[in-house]
Amino acid sequence: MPVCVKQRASSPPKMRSAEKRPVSLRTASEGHVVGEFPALGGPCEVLLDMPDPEAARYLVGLAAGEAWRIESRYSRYNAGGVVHQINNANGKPVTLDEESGALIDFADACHRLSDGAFDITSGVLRRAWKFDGGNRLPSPAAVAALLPHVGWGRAIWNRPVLQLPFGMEIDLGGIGKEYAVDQAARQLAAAGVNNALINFGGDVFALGPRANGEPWMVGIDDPRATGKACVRAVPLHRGGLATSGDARRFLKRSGKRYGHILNPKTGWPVQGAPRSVSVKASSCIDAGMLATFAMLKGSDAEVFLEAEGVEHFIIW
Amino acid sequence: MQLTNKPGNGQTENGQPEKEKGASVRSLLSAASASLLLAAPLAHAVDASDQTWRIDAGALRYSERGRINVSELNFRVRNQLGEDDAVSLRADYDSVSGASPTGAVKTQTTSSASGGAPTATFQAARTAVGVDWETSVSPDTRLTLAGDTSSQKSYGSAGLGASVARDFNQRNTTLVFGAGYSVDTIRPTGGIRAELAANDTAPIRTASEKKDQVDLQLGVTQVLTRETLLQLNLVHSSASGYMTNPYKIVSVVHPVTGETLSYPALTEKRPDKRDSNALYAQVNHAFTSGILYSSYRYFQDDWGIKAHTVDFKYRQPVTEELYVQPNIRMYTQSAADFYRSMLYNGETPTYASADYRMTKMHSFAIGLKLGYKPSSGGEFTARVEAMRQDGELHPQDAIGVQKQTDAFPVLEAVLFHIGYTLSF
Repeated sequence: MPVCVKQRASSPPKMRSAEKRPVSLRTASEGHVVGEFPALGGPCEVLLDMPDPEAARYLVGLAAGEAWRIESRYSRYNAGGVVHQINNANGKPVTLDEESGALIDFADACHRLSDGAFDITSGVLRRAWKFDGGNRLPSPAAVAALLPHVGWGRAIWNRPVLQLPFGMEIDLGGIGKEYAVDQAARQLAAAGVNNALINFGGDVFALGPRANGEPWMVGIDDPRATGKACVRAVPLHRGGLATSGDARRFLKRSGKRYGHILNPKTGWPVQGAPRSVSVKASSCIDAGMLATFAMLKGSDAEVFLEAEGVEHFIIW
Repeated sequence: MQLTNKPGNGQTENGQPEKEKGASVRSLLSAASASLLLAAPLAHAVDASDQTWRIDAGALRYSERGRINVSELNFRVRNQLGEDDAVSLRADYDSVSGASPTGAVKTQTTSSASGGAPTATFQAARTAVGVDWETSVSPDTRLTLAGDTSSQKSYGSAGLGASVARDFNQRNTTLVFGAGYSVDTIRPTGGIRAELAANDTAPIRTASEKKDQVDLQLGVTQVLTRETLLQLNLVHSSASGYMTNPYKIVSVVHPVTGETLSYPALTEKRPDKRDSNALYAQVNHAFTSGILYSSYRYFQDDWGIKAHTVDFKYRQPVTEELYVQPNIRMYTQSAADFYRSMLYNGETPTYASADYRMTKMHSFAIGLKLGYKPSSGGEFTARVEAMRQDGELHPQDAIGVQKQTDAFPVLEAVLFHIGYTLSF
C-alpha cells in the first residue's frame, strides 16, 4: 500500500530560537518509522524503512540537526544568524562564510534565471502586504514607497563580500527549506540510507524507494481544503518534489484574488498565478525553484513548465 | 557565480555568466544547485533523543497453577544530563508467595497418578535498586557503569558492572565488551543446615553463606541490510560459593521396592563452583508492514545442563497508534549431572538435588502484547502469556513403586504485564 505524505505549499518560516524541541518517533501502520520534529517554521518528518529503532532515531536526529542548523543560520528572526547580520549591517559590507556565499550565489543565479522575478530582497514588501485571507489591500503609495528598497540588482555582491544599500534586506525563506531538505538528504546518504523520504513542511526528497521497491506516495495538498484533503497522490522513487502556492496567503477584494507571489518590479501580486504548483526534479531545491519560477510566470506557469519538460502538477 | 560544470555556458567579460540561448532554466538551475549543495560541510549529528527524561513503569502478575504467585512493580527513570552523559535509576519491588515443590517424591505407594507433588509454602518480598551511568568516551565509544543491590529477608545481592560499546563501519557494526561482578548473601530463617543430612534433624551449620559471580560478555550488533539486524552475544559466567537451595530436599526410598517407608529425606547439596556459557543470537527483520524478532539461545554449564531457547515475536502495526505482537517461545534443557529424583537408602552421593529446575524438561509459551502509542506521546503496553512446563513423568532412576508416580509436576503459569513509557 502506498504511503501518503501530505505535501503543502510552503508557509513562511516563523522562527522560534533555541527553545527545546522534541523529536518524536513512531512506527506507522505500514511498518516504516516516522520521525517528526518542528523546524523551519513547520512540521518536518523523516520516513525510514528500517527495523532498528535506535538507528532510526540516530538518522532522524541527523536530519533534524541539519534542519535546525540551517534554520538558526538563515532565519531572519535569529539575532545570531547570518541573515540577521546582513540585514542589520546598515549599508556596510559583510564578509560571508563558504556556505552562506554559496547560498547568495545560488539566489543570484535564480534572480538571473527568472529574469529578475525571483528576488531575495522583495521581502521588504511584506511591510505593506498582509496576506491574511482578508480584504485589506495596501495603498498604491505605500507599495511605491517601498520599491526603492527592493531589487537584487542594487546589491553589490562579490563573493564573499555582500553589501546591501541602507534600508534593504534579504530573505532566504524562498530557498531555505528546500536547501535544508537536500542537505539533510546528503547527511542521510552519507550515513548509508537508501530507503527514506524527507518532508520539511511540504518540500520533499526521496533517497530511494521503500525497502520493498515501491515508491513513496506523496499527496498533493488541496489548496481549497488545505491540510484536509489531497487532490492527488504522486509516486516518488527518488528525487525532489516541491509545491509552491498561496493556500493560506492571499487577499480577496471585490471578488478578485491577490496571491502572495509579488512581482518585485511592481510590488504587486503576480496576475493569474495558479493556486498551487508542484514540480518533480532531481533535487528538492531544483523542484522548489522551478515551482516558484512557474508561480512568478503567472498565467504562463503551465507554458513555462511544459517548455522546461519537468513533471509538474498545477491547481488553478 | 560559477557554472563551470555546465559546458557551453556563456561567460560575459566581467566574469558574470549570462543565460545562454537555448539552455533551459532547469539545467542551469540544477548546475547552480549542485555547487550550492556541496558548499556546506557534512555536519555532526544532533542526538535525536532530545528528550531529557524517560520513564518506564510496569506491573506484572505471574501465577503458577497451584504453586507460586509473583507480583512485581518496576520503575525506571533515565535522565540525559548532557550530550554525552545519562543516568538511570531503577527500582523494583516484587512479592512471591505460594508453594514450591520441595523435591520430595510423593510419599506413598499408591497408584494414583494424579496426586500433587509435595510442596513447601513460603512468602518473600524483594526490593531492588540500581543505578546506571552512561557516558561517551569518544564520538563512537560509549561506556556504561552499573551498580545494583537487592534484598529480601533471606537473600541479599550486590553487583557492579561495566561495559564498553564501540561503533564501527558507519555505525553498521557495534561491538560490546562487558564485565560484571556480584556477591550474594544467603541467610535463610533458621540458618543453613548441613547438606545431605536428614531433613528433620540436620544440624545448623552456619547462619549465612556467600556466593560470588563474575560475568564476561562479548557482543556484536551488525546491520545486515536495511531491513535486517543481527545481534550476537556471548556470556561466560563463573560462580563460586553456596549454590545449594536451602529449602530443597531429596527423598530417600527403599533400594528395591521404592517405598519411602520411614527414611527421612535429605537436604540437598550442589557443587560450589559453576562455569557457564551462553550464546545468544537475535535477528530482527522488517517486512513491508511488520517486524519479526527471532532469537535463539544456547546455554551450557559444567553441571551438565544444556539448554536451548527459541523465541519468535512478530510486531504488526494495526493503526499508526496501535500494534499487536504475538510471540511463542520454546525451551528445553537436559538434567544436571547430580540431579536425582530420589536416592535409595544407604547411598552416599557427593551431590544431589531433586529440584525440578535441575532436571530434564521443556516448556512452551505463547503470548500476545498490545501496544498503544497515542500521538500525544508515551506508550502503553499490555501483555498476556501462558506457559506450560513438562518434564519426565517417569525418570529412569525411579525405583520400584516410584516408577508409577508422576515424578515431574507439570507446571502451568499465566503472566500479565502492563507497562507505560514516557519520554519528555
